[in-house]
Order: sequence, then structure tokens, then C-alpha cells
Amino acid sequence: MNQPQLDLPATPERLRVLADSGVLPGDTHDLALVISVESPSALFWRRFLSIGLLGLGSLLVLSGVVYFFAFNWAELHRFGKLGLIAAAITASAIAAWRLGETLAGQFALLFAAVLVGPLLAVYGQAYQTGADPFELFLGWSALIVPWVALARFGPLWLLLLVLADVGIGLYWEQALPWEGHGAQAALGLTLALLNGAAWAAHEYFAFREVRWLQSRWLPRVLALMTVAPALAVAAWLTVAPDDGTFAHVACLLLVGAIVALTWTFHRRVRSELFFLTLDAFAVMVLVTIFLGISLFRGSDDTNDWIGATLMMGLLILGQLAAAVFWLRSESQVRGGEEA
Amino acid sequence: MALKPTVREVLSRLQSQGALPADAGDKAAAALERWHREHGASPWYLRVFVGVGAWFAALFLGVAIGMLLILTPFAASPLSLIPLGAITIGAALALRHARSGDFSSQLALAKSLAGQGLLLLGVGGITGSLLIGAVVALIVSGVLLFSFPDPIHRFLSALGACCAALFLLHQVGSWPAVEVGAVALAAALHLVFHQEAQLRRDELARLVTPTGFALVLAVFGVLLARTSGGIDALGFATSSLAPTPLLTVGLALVSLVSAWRILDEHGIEATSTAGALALGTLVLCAALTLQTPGVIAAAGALALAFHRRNGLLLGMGVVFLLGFGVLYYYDLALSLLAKSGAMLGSGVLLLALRQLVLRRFTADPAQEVA
Repeated sequence: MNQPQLDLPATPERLRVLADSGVLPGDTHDLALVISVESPSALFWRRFLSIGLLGLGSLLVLSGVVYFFAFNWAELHRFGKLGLIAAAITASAIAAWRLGETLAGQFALLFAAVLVGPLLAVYGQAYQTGADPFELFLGWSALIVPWVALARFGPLWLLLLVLADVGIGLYWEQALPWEGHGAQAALGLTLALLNGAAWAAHEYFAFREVRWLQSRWLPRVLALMTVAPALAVAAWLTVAPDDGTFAHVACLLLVGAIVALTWTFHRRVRSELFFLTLDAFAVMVLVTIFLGISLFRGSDDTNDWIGATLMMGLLILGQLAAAVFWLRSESQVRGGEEA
Repeated sequence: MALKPTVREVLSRLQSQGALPADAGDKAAAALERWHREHGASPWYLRVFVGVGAWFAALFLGVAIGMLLILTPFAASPLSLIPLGAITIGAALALRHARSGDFSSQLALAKSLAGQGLLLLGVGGITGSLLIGAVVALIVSGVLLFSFPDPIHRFLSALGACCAALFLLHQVGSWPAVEVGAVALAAALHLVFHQEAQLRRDELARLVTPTGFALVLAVFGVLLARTSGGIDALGFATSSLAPTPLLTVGLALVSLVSAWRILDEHGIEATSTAGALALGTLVLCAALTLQTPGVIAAAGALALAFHRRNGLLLGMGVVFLLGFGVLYYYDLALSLLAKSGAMLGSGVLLLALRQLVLRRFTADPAQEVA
């Protein structure tokens, strides 16, 4: 969704533009600079300190609890260990229920969700279930799904996705008999598709104006989590095309699809230069690796090496200039940088 | 809660003070639209992308030129690299001043970086002295900081100047001198952002952002290098370092002075309840983390970032605070159980402090300023 120019942050660059165009003459420009970097009001400071202290305090308490159980206190009976964690989870869940949809309530639910992992670990250790690590992570993610759905809290959704990714990765390593580049590529493709589905779901519901999904940090993180595995696998294909499998090709096509879809999203839905920058980076990586391999493989002597190295430098510069030109053009089409 | 005020909010404030006419909003919107159509947007991640890409290009160009020189008789001595590097830098400067298109900007950036590399290689090859090389790097970076009209290059020049200065301090006074330098850089960082509005009024305006962020990276780079992992990686002995609490005290003083300036800007006395709470919290933070100076430095940077409404600095402050926080607890020479207790105690303390802030300083919507 495009913002009018006046609703964008008053950066020094924008104020300079207004000064140069005569809208903010002389002293008025100086005043505007002071206002733009003026310390926030006491109310905002209070909110900032509240959020900061809550976040750090919760993280420390959570870490302390995790360390407590990592200590593996041998004297404590298994019922005691399980009981303590279960009590902490129950207390956190009750606190989340009482605090409701406030930030404190959401952090309390995050706390409870994180504690489910140590509960499963202690259970597996106490009863020697012989469970593989991937079962712990997948079980952990499955158990917290109801809370994640109820919380409407971005970090909790991210936790669920990370647990699922780790569980799938461990499953691939430990349970599947499949080995080699093909297995790695299939894992990369699976993770990219899973994270991509989460990303697409976020954008769909954000487009439907679900209130808690309007912040842009989460889809950007999801975009990185989608592109990274796909790009890594696709890059391998450019290095060793003869070793390519279906998964390698699929990842390459997926990167292309992401570029096309994010460009369409930027043009039709909302300005998102971050996605386009990520696209440009991905395409540059693939093109540079492909051309680099081609240039250096064909180099037989020192002169060829020098020429290839020089060409690589110029190719990178050329791609960079083209990418910047494209990105600036796209930002002009949409009419402004998102906040 | 948007961190930075919008253009509309700034214009409204100016209009309410009688500094602007009623139609200033329409003229401003037209001017910004016109500028955006001509230049497009340049957010921080785009600049990082361009900077990293230019580095890679400069690396390849520098290697190619170096290999070419090795093969030519002219390159029999490193002496040839100095004029070649200087000419390359000069050509890059001329190109950048003459053209501001995307390809020209990137080419000029890459050429300048490659030229500086060649120049320093030549100086190092002739003198065999890292000290002289660092002096040359400092001078070249300083000159280019003022003369090269590109924000990414200015950032790299400022960072290069900081690194050269720290290296010179190390050569002169070993690690203790570097640590004194880090405290000085931290003080400079806080000064730049506190004086941001004043500095942006004159010719130094375009240096503020690049220099500010270069100082951030330089300070935290030293603090990271000073950790146990960093020292091992750099091959130094821990006995060469000054006692860590001294560095923590130095950085704490910088953060305290910065906090006092923030309080002063709000008209709050240091001896008032709010002032004592703020300064006391910083002192307590420093006292509890004497062996990890990065924590108090990051806390100070975080407060500065929010004070000056800088989102990127705020993000960096959060990352460094979490990173150094992890290092602090990792380095504690305690059992897991004791560490658990330390974390629980710290966490409860912070949550209690939050309750104190919420109860003592009640929210009053009337205080909220547009």
C-alpha cells in the first residue's frame, strides 16, 4: 500500500530536498532538523523502557530456566523435574490468559511455548524413550501450534517455523537413508517451500488487513528464510550442473518464481524494495557464480587468468549498476519508500 | 509507535510555531514527489548491497591489476604501485564528481577501493613498515572522507580512518592504548549523534551519517576483538590487555554523560527520581558486567539510538546488547546451576525495574507530543 510522501519519515535527506526547493528556507530548515531528531516524549520513553525491560527480563528468566534444566540436577527425581517444568508452563499459560493480548501476555505465552522443549527433553531423558532429536523438535512444534494460533504474535510464529525447520533438517540427517547432493538439495527445497508457504500466508492475511500482521519485519525475515536455502541449492547447480538433480532444478525455478512473484507483489500490492533487493542479490549470486566458473574453467595460462579476473570485476560492477538502476526505477514507479 | 516523526508531523509543528505558511504541505509533497521521480529511493539495505558488491568488484579488479603488474618489467619494484594507486584514486574521484549515474558511481567506488589497495601495498612494499602504512591509510581515508561525494565511500573511509588510528595506537602503546582509543571513539560516537541537528546545518552535513555508523562499527569491533575468542583469533596474549574493568568504567562514563545529556534535554535534573533511576541503572549495569564492557557500551548506544530516533542504530544496539549479553553469561566462571541463578536473578531484577518505571511514571496522554 503506497504512502503519500508526507507520511514518510522526516530523514535529513528529505528535509534537505525541501530546503533546496525553497519549502524550508534558512532557519526553518534548521528548526526542522532539530524537530526530526528531537528526543521522543516521556510517554514514548516509558513505552520503550517497558518493552525493552520486558523483553530482556523475559529472555533472561527463560534462559535461566533452560540452564537450570541443562544442569541436569541428578538428585531431583524425575517427577520433580517434570513437575517443575510443567508448573512453569502452567503458570506462564495462566499469566498469558490473565494478561490477555497485551505485550506482557504474549511474552508469557512465548515463555510457555519455549519451555515445552525442555519438558520433552527431560521426559525423554527420564524415561529413556530412545527418541531421536528430530522427534523432539517436531513434537515440540506440534504441541505449541494451538498457542501459536491463539497468540497472534509474530515471534511465536517464527519460533514455530524455526522448530519445524530444525526438526525437518534433523529428520533428513538421521532418519532418511538418502545421502549425497540429492538429499541435501531435497532438504533445501523442502525448507524453502515450507518457509515460502509461511511467507505467502503472511502476505495474504496482511493484504486482508489482519491488524497484527501489518508490521513488515516478519515477512522480510520469512523472505530471507525462503530464499537462503533455495539459493544455496541453486548455486550448487551452477557450480556442478552435471551433478544436478530434480531438486536442484526445482530450487533454481523457485528462485525465478520468487523474483517474478515479489516483483508482481511490489507492483500490484505494496511497495517492498527489500524483496526486490533480495531478488537482485539472488540473481547476481547465480549469474556471478555461473560466469565465474565459465571464465576460470576456460583459462589455461596466466594471461587468461588475468583477463578472467578483470572480467569478473567488471561483470560484478555491471550487474550492480543494472540492479541499482532497476531498484531505483521500481521505487519511482511505486512513488516512495516504505517506512 | 513510529520511531521517526513524519514529514507531515514536522511541517505541522513548524506551522504551529508560525514558521511556515498554511500551504507548505502541498508544496512539500510536490517537491518530494518530483525528487523521488528523479532519484528513487535509497534505503539502508540497498546501500549495504551496493557497498558489498563494490568491495567484491574492487577485489577482482585489484587482483587483476596486481597480476598484470607482476608480469610487466615496470612492476619490478613496489614503487610502481604508489603512482598507479594514486592515479586510480584520482581517476575515481574525477569520475564520481563528473557523473552520478549508477554504473559510474559503482565503477568510481570500486576503482577508488582498488586504488587505495594498490597505494597501501606499494607503501608497505617499499617501507616494510606497518606503522607508515597505517599513517598513509589514515591520511588517505581522511582526505577521501571529505572529498569523495558518495555516502558508502564516506562510510568506508571513516571506518578505514578509525581502524588506521586504532592500529597506530596499538603500535605506539599496545592494547591499553587501543582501549583508550575505543573509549575516545565511543565518546565521539555519542557526540556526533547528540549534535546531529547542529552538524547537519553546515558543510559537514553529509559526513554525519557515514561517520556516525563507522564509529559504531569501530567501537564494537574493538570490543568484539577483545573477547576471548577474538584475542585468540588475532594471536594476542591476554596479558597484553589492560584490566577489563578499566575499559568498562571508561565506557560507562561515556554512557552516563550521554544519559545526563538526554535527561537535560528533557529538563530532568540528574538528582531527581527519574534522573537518579536512569543513571543508577546504568551504574548498576556497568558494575554487574565489569568483565564484559560491551554490555554497558551497547546499553548506551541503545539509549542514544532511541533518543535520536535512529532505527538502524537501534537495531544495531539490540544485536550488540544481545550478543554481549550472551558473552557475559558464557564467560562467567560458574557452574550451570549458578549461571542459571544469575540469569534468573538478573531477569527478575529487570522485570521489577519495569514495574517500577510503569508505576512511578504513569502514562499521561497529554504529555504525548506529535
